[in-house]
Amino acid sequence: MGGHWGGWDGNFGESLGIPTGIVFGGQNAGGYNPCDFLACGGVASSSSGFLASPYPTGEGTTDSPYNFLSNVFWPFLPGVSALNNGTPWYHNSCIMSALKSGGISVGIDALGFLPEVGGVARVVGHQAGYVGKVADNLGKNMLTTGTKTTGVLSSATGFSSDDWTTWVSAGITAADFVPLLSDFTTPVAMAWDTGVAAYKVYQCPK
Amino acid sequence: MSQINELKREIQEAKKLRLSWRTKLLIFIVGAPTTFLFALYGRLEMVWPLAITIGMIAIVIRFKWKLRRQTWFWVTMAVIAVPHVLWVLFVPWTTKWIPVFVYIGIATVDFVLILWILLFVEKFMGGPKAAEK
Repeated sequence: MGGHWGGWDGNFGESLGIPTGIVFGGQNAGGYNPCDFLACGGVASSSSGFLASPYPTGEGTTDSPYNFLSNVFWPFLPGVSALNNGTPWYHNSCIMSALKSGGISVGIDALGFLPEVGGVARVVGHQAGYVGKVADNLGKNMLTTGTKTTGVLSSATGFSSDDWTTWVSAGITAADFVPLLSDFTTPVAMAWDTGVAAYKVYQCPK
Repeated sequence: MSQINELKREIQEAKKLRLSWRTKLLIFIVGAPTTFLFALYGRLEMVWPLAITIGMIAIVIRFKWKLRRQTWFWVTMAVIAVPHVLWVLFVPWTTKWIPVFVYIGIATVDFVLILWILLFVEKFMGGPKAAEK
């Protein structure tokens, strides 16, 4: 199960969406204490170093029900399949959000493949009906002005335009400078985007 | 020929080189799971400095392959690698997404700087003819 281990999170059944009032474990529920199955060994740890006991609190009575760690995977407990709630991955908002942001990043970074002989700037310049160096210069101006005014890339990245539009302009010039370097950097950037998106998906609750 | 003119000539040479689609695909196939693993172990910020370090040193070695029989070439590359390793290990880098053009700019500066150092050492060690011996 992906993600970080957390701390105590109230009643286990309640946190899984199982109707409250159901009490696990002990004499009340017919013996579902995970330790009865010798399967509670080890200690779930979080990335912050917090060690969480796998043993439930409470006495297993109606007045004092067992409270379990809600995000430790105990497959032998009833209702654990409710973790994914039968929701297909493409309806999982966390997964879709991660894939969407990854897709946008890959799409923007793929522009790095374009800078050949004038690059993106020349493509933009050509769209405006110019050729050669004139198209390059016009394209560069349009790109930097465009990103500053529309904030299209800013909204995709969460950065302020002012922080990096100058870098974009300088980068476009650099990409045209030695194409070999954009040949190397662009697939690295796309790989980074894909790896990060995969990690975000991995972190989503299943 | 002055060192600046020599550097300009080298850059013109480098402009003629391209990576094949196969190499680009290989970089992507190796890079994506590597990034995932670095993120998994909480070291995502190391990916870009490491990639640029490995990439630029590899590109320069390939580009100056004619110097491979010169001991000074490998010694120089090893010396150049040291500050790169320090950069990877100790300079904090962001885990936020940054457009590829920014990294192209950084890679270009690094590439030109390495070439300039190599030209300087080459001149000191006996000029371009040293490579042809």
